[in-house]
Amino acid sequence: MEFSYFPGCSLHSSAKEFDLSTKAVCEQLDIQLIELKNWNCCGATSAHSLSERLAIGLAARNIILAEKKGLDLVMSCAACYNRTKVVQSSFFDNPGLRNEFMEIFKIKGDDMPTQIEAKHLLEVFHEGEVMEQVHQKVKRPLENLKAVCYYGCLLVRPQNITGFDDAENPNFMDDLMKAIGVSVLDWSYKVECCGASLSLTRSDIVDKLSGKLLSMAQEMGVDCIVVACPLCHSNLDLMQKKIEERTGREFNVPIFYFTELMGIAFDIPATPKWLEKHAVDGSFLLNN
Amino acid sequence: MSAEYDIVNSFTIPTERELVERVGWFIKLRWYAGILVPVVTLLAGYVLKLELPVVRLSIIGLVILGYNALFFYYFRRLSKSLEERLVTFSRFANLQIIIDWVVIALIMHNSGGIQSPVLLYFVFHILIASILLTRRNCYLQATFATTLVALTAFLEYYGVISPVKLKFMSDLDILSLSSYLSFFASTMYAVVFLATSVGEALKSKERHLMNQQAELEDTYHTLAHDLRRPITATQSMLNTVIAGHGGEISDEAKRWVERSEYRLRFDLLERVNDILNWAARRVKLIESVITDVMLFDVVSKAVLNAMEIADDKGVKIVTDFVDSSLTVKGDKDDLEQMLAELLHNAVKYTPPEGVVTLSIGAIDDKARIEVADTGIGIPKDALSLVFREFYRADNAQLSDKYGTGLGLSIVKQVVDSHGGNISVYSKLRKGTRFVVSLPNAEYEGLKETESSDATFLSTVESLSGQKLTNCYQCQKCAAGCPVIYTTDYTVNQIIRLVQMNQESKALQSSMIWLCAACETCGVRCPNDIKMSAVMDVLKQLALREEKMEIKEKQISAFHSTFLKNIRSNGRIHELGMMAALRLKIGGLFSDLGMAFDMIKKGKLKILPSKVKGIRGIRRVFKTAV
Repeated sequence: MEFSYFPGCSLHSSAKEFDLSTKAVCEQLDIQLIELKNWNCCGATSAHSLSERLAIGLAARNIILAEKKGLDLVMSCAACYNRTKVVQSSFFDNPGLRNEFMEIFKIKGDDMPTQIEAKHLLEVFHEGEVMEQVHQKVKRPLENLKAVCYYGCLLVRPQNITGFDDAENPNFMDDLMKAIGVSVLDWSYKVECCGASLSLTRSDIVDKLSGKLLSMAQEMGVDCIVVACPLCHSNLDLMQKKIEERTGREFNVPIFYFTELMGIAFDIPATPKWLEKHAVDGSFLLNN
Repeated sequence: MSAEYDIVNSFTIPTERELVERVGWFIKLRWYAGILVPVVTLLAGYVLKLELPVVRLSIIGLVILGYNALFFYYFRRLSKSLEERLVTFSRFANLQIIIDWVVIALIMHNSGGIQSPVLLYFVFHILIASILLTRRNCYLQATFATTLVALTAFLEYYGVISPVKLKFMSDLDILSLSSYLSFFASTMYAVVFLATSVGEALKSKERHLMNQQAELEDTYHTLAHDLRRPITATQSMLNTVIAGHGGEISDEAKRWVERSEYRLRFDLLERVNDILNWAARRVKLIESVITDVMLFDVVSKAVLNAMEIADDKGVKIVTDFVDSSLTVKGDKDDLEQMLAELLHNAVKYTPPEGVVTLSIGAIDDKARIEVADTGIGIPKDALSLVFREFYRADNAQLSDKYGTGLGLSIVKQVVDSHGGNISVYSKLRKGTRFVVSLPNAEYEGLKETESSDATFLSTVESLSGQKLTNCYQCQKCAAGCPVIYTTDYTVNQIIRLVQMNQESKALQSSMIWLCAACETCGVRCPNDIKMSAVMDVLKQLALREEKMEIKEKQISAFHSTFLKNIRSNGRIHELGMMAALRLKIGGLFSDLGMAFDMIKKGKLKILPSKVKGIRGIRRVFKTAV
């Protein structure tokens, strides 16, 4: 299986471990990821906040580049995935847009491009064949690990555009984690908001929203929260200490990307290199 | 204490704050001065046939306009900066006075020297300076003015500079020149002395008053605490006894304890609360916060509280809301208390099986709240007195021993402070009806709209592609909104504001910036309105409209910093973006430790990586903005 891969800015920087684990796990599953050459930032929340046209333009460039390559586009970052899906749907509603931006970017190509599908890595993994592969690749089932899966906002909403699983009760990540032996608990905060980029400007809001998630996870007695979004990871892991300081509560809940747990279950040797990048120590997983 | 410290410290006094504003007046007046100098010169020439150097004086007029323009820009910058300090202002005022005086001296020289009536204009500045600046500065300034005038006069006298002599002026000898100068000097010093003494006295009184207010506040809070604490403590001890936790007691003893507890709660505690509340209002310790208040929100809490007592007593409370979205401008706590007092009063004076009716509706431009009961009524001669402090009608005292007679006076205070009206109708043994009318905020809003932009709704609808007219206020959006606890309006209220073309309210709300774009509202909306798209459009409109005040400035700063970062490299360089943001909104060092840690773990790149084809990306920026 071959895909174009759009890692996005975070995965090249603050979410490096997500990028590394994505690639390593895909390799194990015989999924070939070819990184899109010269991809650019999707614009994230800021672009659509201040200019719809800019938001479309930024994501459009990546889509056009991927269409030229002709392979389906896979993303691990929930924000990149969301923006790409939104703009693909704008292209669908307004076919002229695509040509307009091709001209602006001076990218030559067909008027009728190859239809490609934009997918989140979870969607790729959840497909029947791959799921079977996952089952087979497990060398160290994570049987003693109790976890909750946290999807956040951007994968599931708006549902009519992303079409990801289910808007209120998604289960793709839960299924995947169960496949590698994790004891996944059900909880009602799967698709709550962590406070997103407000962490840099109104950290009090993130304290409250992410704090709520952390304290619920703590009350449930899980060993960790599993995530699929770099910003969620940043708010829950990187900011956890600050949230603890500001709210006066102690959480100490490790946060893992789903790919990292798969890496551990597949017994990929590079795993410790990913986990050492976390703020909240998750190395207990490596010991048993 | 140094002089500078003293200035900064006293910045909070109202007179001085006002005077800072008056530095702006200086600038305004100077525009006129710049224009009037040549105009008056010409008039004097034509009408009074005085031979004045028109060209020179006109140039002086232009110079005045020129430096005033500089002052104007500097003043605007000063006023915009958040922490505007009095030291800066006093320096600015000093500079203005010095330059003005040099210019006045020039005009004086060109219009007859020391005999020119322009000399009197020196007094303006010294008067303002005496109130605004420190005493030492004022004497220095007075000395400067005197020296300046003396210098001009003597230079003219000894022929170093040639004087302009007008026809009504006589030749001066050294004696009359000296007397002119000494009178001028003594006037200046006397003004400084008088004005600074009066000013100082005023300032110290103000400072004293403010300290007193602060002390009063402290005393009030201590008193409130000291009075309530023993009562509630005793109450809880009695409750322990009643519940039998202290061992068994006889029924008779229990009844006595229960009665004491009741007396404590309804007689003492309530009285203390009433008095404290009334006192706080009298000395203006409770400051009102005016917002748009939905009456429905206020009412529900007051009703629930009143129901507790009403249920015990067997009185029924009936509510009748004509319009649950009725909104008034006011202080939520005040309005809540007003309603609570009215309902409490009604329940208190209504015998068992009676009914208290609360109805709310709108009549024209007024919200109307009516509390009616089937109680004992108020005697005719007492009707005009019920709002008086501590007044209780005879039948009220008979029916209920407890009460301070303050409740209705508090109600009246609240109604008055909201620009409303209260009237009372009553018939003995039949019941009483209180009718409160308050200005209806939405009606006010509608009036605004008529003159402002009635196309706002259609603009927002077409830019966002969302049909807001479909919203019927089911509030599902608000129920799922994660940030609602900290926003000024809820999601559905924003829709309502847009529907009603309330442009400035919608664009100046904090909600549009705090919306995290989680899209929960959009997914749950039965009318399929994607509110996130609407919020984006509102943000963009708010930034476009210059007169709109941006709430949550740091969030808009974040977005623009983020986009600038994309523009320069095509990808986000997290380190650079965070540093730029911190420089903009402050807290540069707050993330430093975390940044080092991240660099160490290889999670932050030191250098940005540039995308090939950045030009095309920049072209999108160009066409987008």
